[in-house]
This record gives sequence, C-alpha cells and structure tokens, in this order.
Amino acid sequence: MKKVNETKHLEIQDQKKLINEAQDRLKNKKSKFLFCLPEIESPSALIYEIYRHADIVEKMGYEVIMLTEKPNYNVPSYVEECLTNRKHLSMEKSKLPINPDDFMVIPETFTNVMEQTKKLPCKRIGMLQSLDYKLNALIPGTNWTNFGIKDIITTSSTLKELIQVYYGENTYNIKTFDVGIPDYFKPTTKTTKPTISLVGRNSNDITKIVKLFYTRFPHFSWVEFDLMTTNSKPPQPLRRIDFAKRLRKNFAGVWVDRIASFGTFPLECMKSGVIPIGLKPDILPDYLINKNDKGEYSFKDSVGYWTENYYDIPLMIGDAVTKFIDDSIDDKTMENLIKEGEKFSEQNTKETVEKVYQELINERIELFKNAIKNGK
Amino acid sequence: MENNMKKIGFIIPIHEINKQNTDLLEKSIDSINNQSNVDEKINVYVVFPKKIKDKFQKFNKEWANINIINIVNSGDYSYQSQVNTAIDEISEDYFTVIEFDDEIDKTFLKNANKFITAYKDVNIFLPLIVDVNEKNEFIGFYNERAWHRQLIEDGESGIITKKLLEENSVFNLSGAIFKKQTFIDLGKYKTHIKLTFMYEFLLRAVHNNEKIMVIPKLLYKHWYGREGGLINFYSHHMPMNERKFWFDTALNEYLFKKDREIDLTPLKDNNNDTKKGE
Repeated sequence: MKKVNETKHLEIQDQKKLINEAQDRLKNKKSKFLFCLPEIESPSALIYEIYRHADIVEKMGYEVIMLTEKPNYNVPSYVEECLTNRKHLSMEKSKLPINPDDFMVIPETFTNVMEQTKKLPCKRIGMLQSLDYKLNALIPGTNWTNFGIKDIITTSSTLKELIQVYYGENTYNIKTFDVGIPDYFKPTTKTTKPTISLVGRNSNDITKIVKLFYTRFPHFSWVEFDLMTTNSKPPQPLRRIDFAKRLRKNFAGVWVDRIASFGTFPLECMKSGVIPIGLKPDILPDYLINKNDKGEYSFKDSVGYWTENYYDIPLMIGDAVTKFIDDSIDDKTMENLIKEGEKFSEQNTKETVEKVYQELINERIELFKNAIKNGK
Repeated sequence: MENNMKKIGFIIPIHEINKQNTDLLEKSIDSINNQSNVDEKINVYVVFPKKIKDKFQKFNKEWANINIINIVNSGDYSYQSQVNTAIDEISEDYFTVIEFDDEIDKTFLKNANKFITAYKDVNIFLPLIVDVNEKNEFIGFYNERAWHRQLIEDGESGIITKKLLEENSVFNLSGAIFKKQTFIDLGKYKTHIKLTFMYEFLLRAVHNNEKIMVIPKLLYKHWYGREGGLINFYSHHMPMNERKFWFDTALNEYLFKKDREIDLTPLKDNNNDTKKGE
C-alpha cells in the first residue's frame, strides 16, 4: 500500500513538473502553433485566413508550423508570398513532438484530423468559416466535442449565435475575430468600366446569370462580364493583389454563394468602390446587417443590391448598368459604400486575432495553474 | 467651373430657322444650361449662315448659365464648314459640337472633365449616344461598339482602333469632345466629303496615332431620322451606289490631312448608266 502511494506521489510530481515546464514554455513564448491546411484547389477564404492567422501569431512571438495532409502540398498562388513563406510539414511524415502547451488550429473540413489527433496533449481549436462545411464533414449525431474539441474561432457573431442555438450555449467556447480586407483593395483613381466581375461557388449559377442578362437586355450586349481569372489557357486563379487591381476597374461585382457564412468578395467590392450585387446567403454576415439593443437584425441600406431570389439577379444587373451609364449613382452613395468596406481593415483583424489567441493562451496558463494547485 | 475643370466650348451649327428648328434649338441650349457642378458661364457658339442672320437675331433668349456667341458662316454652310469656321473663333482648349435638335445629359461637363483629367494621353472622347425616335422612345445606342469585347477582341476596352473602324463604320461624333489643337492639327472636317465625313475623320485620327476613347456614359441624346434632318435626307434620297461611293472615298482620303477635291465622275457615270438602263 505504501509502495502504491509512493508510486502515485511520484507520478503526480512528474506530472506537476511537466505542467510547470509547459506553463513556463507558454509564458516564455516557446510553445508551438500548428495550423492544419486542407488542400482546396479553388481560391478559398478559409485558406487565406489560416495563413493570415499563422502570420499574426508568428508576429506575436510564437513558432508557427503549417501542417499539410500530404508531402507534396501545393502552396496556393493566390495567397501572398509573405504569408505562405513559412515552414510547411506533412502530417503523414512528420515526427514532430507535441507538448501540452502547443496549440493546433484545425479547419472545419478536417474532421478526420480532429479524430486522429484526439489523443494529442496540445490544445486543439476548430476554425469555423462555414456551417455547411462543418456539417458536411460530420456524420449525423456527431459533433466536434466527440473529438475533444471545445474551442472554436469563427468570423461572425451571427454564426456564433447559430452554433449556440443548435449546440447549446455552453457547449463550445466560441471566439470571433473580424475579417479584414487588405489595403490594396481600394477605389480606382481613374474611371470604372462597364464591366461586371462575377464570382460564385457554382459555375452553372454564374453561366445562367450571364445568359439571362443578355436575353433580357440585348441592347447591353456590349457590357462585359469578368470571371476574375487569368487570361491563360486554362484560366488560373489570380493572386489576391492582382484580383484587387482588376476588381477596381469594374463598376460592379456579382456574388452568388448560398453557403458562405462570411464571404469576403462583397467587402472587397465595397472597399474598392465597386457595387456588390448578390444573393443573400443563408447566414447573413455582419457587414450586411444592423443589430439593435434588443438583438434584432435589420438589413443595411447602401450596401449594394441584394436579393433572396436568384432570378432577380440579372434584372438587378440591368438596373445597375442603366444607373452606371446614366451616371445616376450619386457620389454620397458610393462614399458610404466605401466607408462600410473600410470598417473591415487589416489592422482590425490583427487586433482581434491577437486578442483571440492571447485569450486562448491565458486560458491555457490558467488551466495549468489550477492543475498544479489541485494536484497539491 | 469647379477648380481644375477644363473649359469646353459648345458649338451648335444651324442652317435654317423656322418654328420647329427654333424650338429644338431652345431645348438643346436648355440642356447645356442645365449642367450640374458648374459655377462659371459656358460659352455656346451658334453658327449660322449669313442668309438667316436676320431671322436669328430675332430669336435671342437669355440663359442664366451660358453666353450665346453668334458666329456667321459665309459661303459653304455645310455642317463641316460651320464647325471648321467656329473652331477659329472659340477661346476654349476643348470643344464639342451639338446638333441643334439633340440634347446633352446634365452630367456631360462633369464626365467630360473627369475623363479628360483621368486620361491625359487621349485628346478625343466620344460619348455614348442614345438614339430616340420622335416620341422619345429608345431605338439604340451609338458608339457602344468600342466596348464590345467580341468586336474589339484583344484591343483595349473603350478605345477605337483602326481594326474596329475597318469593320464598323457606325460611330457618331456628335457630342464628341475634342482638344481644339488636335482637331486643327489633324486637318479639321473635310467639306468635300458628304455622308461619311465623321467616319473619315476618325480613320484619319487613328491613322495619325490619336487615341480615341468612348466614355461609357449616356451623355448625348440623338433624334434619329428627324423629318428635315440630314440623316433622314440621306436615307430617303441618297441611292445605294452613292453611299458606297462616299464610304470608299473615306477609306481613300483618310491618308491625307488636306481636304482634297473629290472626283465625282463615278457618280455621274453611274447616274448615266441608270438612265441608259431606263
């Protein structure tokens, strides 16, 4: 019995030592942040945000590693090199030591990784951009908590509220950050063209809009649509900075994406002085709504043309073109549009992301402190 | 004028005064008077032939935002000649020509200035023109083809190129904004060319490396096929062979800045052949 107690006492001492060491590493910024990267071919806001978070956390003083599924990961060309130029390791081949003071950020599409990493001692956090993708990757009746994930970082307060409604208020510790649009999205100093940028999740949705527009407005056959890809064959996604340069030359941008919870294209349009025309997504992002003291939502004015009916879109484009050539969109409306877009600045993202991770770090330190105290 | 706004002179050629023309001219000048964002008077140069000078003197109306300057055009009173005469009289660096039966949009000056300022390498701007009938109903656009991707192919959007002109002659210089010196250096309008003098001018400008841009804003409303108008006259009275003759003439003459005499013999020969055939 004495020997059992002694063994147990030694174990507790060892654990305390480990926890102390973990706590020290965390306080001294020796911990690692691991960001898991799914391979998504088409330009993805999720991938962009993962890289941006990695960059911000690295600037906070922590070691950052990008974890990819496979060894031959293709670094996306649409993300700036200053964000992607960092250590990438393959999960398949990596023998990386993981400590309790380390953090792992896992995006919503990677439920397999969530399951596989269940037993790791580090703090694992789910990054949520789209509820659709989260649900698609889960079998009915399961939840991220089944994989031991209780912390979520997400982009919008409406998404946070929806998670709380469906999963319960205290199921997850949800932190939100503000998505920022880079400063290189800005209005043109020249004049805009009678060209409309067209961005959507489903190519069929986009093609239909173009065909319906020209059918209804044959006298606008000279108005051009820009799919925002390179001119090469086959076309490739543009680098984000090139996307910005091209966007600001056009007078309007059409966006069709029912499932994005916080699509950035409309914001990029606003910041560039380009009129957004779009289908209201199922989950309305913060930049489209006002919230009063009672928590009630109303749709904002002066943020472009928005509809719940897909078949309104070609008609709205026709109206926008008419207003463009009539020059009847007043300067005040455009100024307000740009101001709305400018609220989502990179500086704001940096501050809110830093706050989110600092809170996670502080919570972890507190946990270690309590663990040591309780172990006495 | 707002700070940095370029002064643009408005030229309105008119060849006959009657009740209808007077009403139309008044509406046209009203549209110039109603320009937004302007706080200095605009000069409107009304050019008319000597023979209607007395009738025109009876007609003077006062407009708050414009100065009407009458220019008497002696001799040939073709549209081209009237414009060429006015150019020598205007004081502005830029000018535009408005047909007396047409109107401009209230944002004409604002947009003209915006584009002149933004595109310093361009000295000739064409507006997007809306064609309407006598009931003011929409018929179509003019000048939009410079923005049509299928027509310009790999060319720069909004810019009129030689290739575009070779395949499309349907451009209208009514309401176009010219840098005065450029218009003079290019040789002005040719009075010896009927029907296609605007097309010939465009070809000549492009041939001399002038960049011509179409402003994608509806700045000019054109009354298509007005009874008594020149286009109406041509479409009803000018035979097909004569129209072809003038197109071919434009394609030959744009290489020359000089307003050369045109040999009209082919037209006379054609007329004789027609009579022989009868």
